[in-house]
Amino acid sequence: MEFDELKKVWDEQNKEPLYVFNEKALQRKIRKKRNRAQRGSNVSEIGLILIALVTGLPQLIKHINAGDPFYFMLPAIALLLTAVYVIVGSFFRKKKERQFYRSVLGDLDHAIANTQFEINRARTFVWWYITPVAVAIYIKLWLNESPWGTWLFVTGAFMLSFFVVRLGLTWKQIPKKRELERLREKLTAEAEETIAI
Amino acid sequence: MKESTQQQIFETWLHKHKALLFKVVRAYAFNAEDQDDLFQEITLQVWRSVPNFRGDSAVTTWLYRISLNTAIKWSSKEKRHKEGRQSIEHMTHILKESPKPIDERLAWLYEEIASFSEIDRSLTLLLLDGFSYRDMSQMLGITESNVGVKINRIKKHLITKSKKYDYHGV
Repeated sequence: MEFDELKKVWDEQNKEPLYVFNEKALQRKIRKKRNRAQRGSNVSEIGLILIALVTGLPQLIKHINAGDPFYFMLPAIALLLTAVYVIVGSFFRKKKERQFYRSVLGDLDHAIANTQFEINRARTFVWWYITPVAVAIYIKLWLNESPWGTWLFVTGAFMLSFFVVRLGLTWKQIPKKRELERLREKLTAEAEETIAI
Repeated sequence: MKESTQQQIFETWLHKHKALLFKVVRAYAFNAEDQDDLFQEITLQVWRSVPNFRGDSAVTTWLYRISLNTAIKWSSKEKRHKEGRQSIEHMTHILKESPKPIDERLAWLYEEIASFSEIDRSLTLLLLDGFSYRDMSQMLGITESNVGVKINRIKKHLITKSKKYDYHGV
């Protein structure tokens, strides 16, 4: 067949679409997917914000009421700052998500940048989240003269959260970024390779 | 934009251009579950894209761009449907093959397209739907000369393969 004939064969499907679809079921599923996507992206951020607020705010209020010196309040302030960091990050992420790009390449670049942001955030999680929370909690344990079992439990919990984040990084975000980069390379590569005939 | 307006535009696009969306689904997903999943993903992205459409390109160009973007990224995900992992809800298919059997030559053409890389599949669809090199270049974000080289290669491949197909009289 010549190319014109191939095109005629191709154009047949404009008259006779390949599929039929259930419109009501589609609308229902779209609505569900929309809601699920919104919930999914928010859960981890809301969790981080809540933990920071629940641990940071009562401490700060307690120290203010007790008239303690400023440096007593530093761990609580650090915790509240992590909450602000997550809130601001979430705002910009949502704003970016609403953008549509003019080209497939633009969209891939955007997806790569987003994944890189997630990777960086997960890699530095120990510094901007675990450390302030740990400092605040250890100070409290020390002031309360808590038993060594509690220290061990808290340390285990921190280590666990660190490994869970690292696991997500290794199994999800890094492979996702590599796959996006592979697509980008395929798209932009000058077409010197040949299709196997 | 009001949600009712967005919904109205979405429904009009869906009715008028469903064949375009089906082509992308068929070229990127190869079993009923995946086709259903990809169709939902594409329609969701089209719905979301409605408020961003400014009318500076044809609706078909816009829809192709959204659906190809979605399909390329969808096909790069590792998750594909596996037997026994579907929920009851998911087993209600939204998309069903048309009762009229597909032309054998068209089925062959789709098989050939499926053998291409994700990017070449996009170019083939755009080529067969008559888009210019310029349109393709803008849609994909690559140079016109790169589009030209890739298209020549795809055309050559399809014509050579179709001759073998004719010869064997399948």
